[in-house]
Amino acid sequence: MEATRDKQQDERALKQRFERDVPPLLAGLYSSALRMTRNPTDAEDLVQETFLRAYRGFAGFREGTNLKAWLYRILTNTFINTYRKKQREPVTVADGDVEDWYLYDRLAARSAEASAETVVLDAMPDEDVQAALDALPEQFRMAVLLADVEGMSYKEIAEALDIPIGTVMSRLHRGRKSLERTLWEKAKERGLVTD
Amino acid sequence: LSPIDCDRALREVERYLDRELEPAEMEQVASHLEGCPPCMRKADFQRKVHELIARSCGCDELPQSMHVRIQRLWVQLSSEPD
Repeated sequence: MEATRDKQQDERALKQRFERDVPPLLAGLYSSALRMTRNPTDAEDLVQETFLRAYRGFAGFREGTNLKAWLYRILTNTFINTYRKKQREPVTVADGDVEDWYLYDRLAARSAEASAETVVLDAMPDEDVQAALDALPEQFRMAVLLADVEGMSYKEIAEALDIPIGTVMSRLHRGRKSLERTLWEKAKERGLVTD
Repeated sequence: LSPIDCDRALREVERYLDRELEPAEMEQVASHLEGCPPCMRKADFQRKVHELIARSCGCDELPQSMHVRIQRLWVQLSSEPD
C-alpha cells in the first residue's frame, strides 16, 4: 500500500513538473516545427504529437538532463519518422559550391570598418532569414536548424539524422553557405545593399 | 603548441565556432584569432551569421489555434486517472 501511495505521489509530482516546465518551451518548439514542415498546419500537428509523446514518456525523463534538448529530440524524431515518410525528398546535390566567405566577401569589401558588414545583418528582417532557411533542401535545412537554432552538437545531429559526422559537417557547411547566398539576394531586394 | 597560419585558422573556424575542435585545436585557433585582426573580423562575422539564424528562425509566436489545441489536450490528459 505504501509503495502504491508513493508511486502515485511521484506521478503527481511529475505531472506538475511537466505542467510548469513544458509550456514555456512550446513557442520555440513550434518555430522549429515550422522550419521543418514549412507549413503551419503540419507544424501544429507536429507540436501536438511531440507534446503527447513527451507527456507519455515523461517518466523516462532523467532529472538533471536538459529538458529543452530532450523535447527537441522528440520533435526531431517525430518529424523524421512521421512527416518525412509522407513525401521523401530525393537527396539533392547542391547546385555547385558556394565560396567559403560568400557573404563576408560581398559585405566587408564595402568598407574597412568592421561594423559595415554587421549593420546589414542587423537590418535583416526575421522573415527573410526564415525564407532563406526554408529555401534549403531538407537535408541541408535540417542540419542548419539542428545546429544553429536548436544548438545540437555534430554528434547529436549525426544520431538524430542517422548520418556520419563527416556528412553532418559537409551538410552544415554547404547549407550555411547556400543560406548566405539567399541572404545576399534578399539584402539586394530590400535595398540594404547595392550590387 | 605550434602556431597556425591564416589559411589553417580560417579552415577550422566553422568547427571552432561550433565548439567542435579538440581543446588543443580550439586554443590554436583562438590564439591565431587574437593575434590576427583580419581573421578575427571574419570569425566575428561568421558567428553573427549563426546568431542571426538562431534568432530569426526560433522566434515565431505560438498561434492562437495552437494554444487552443494545447488547452484541449491538457483537459483530456488531466481527466486521465493518475
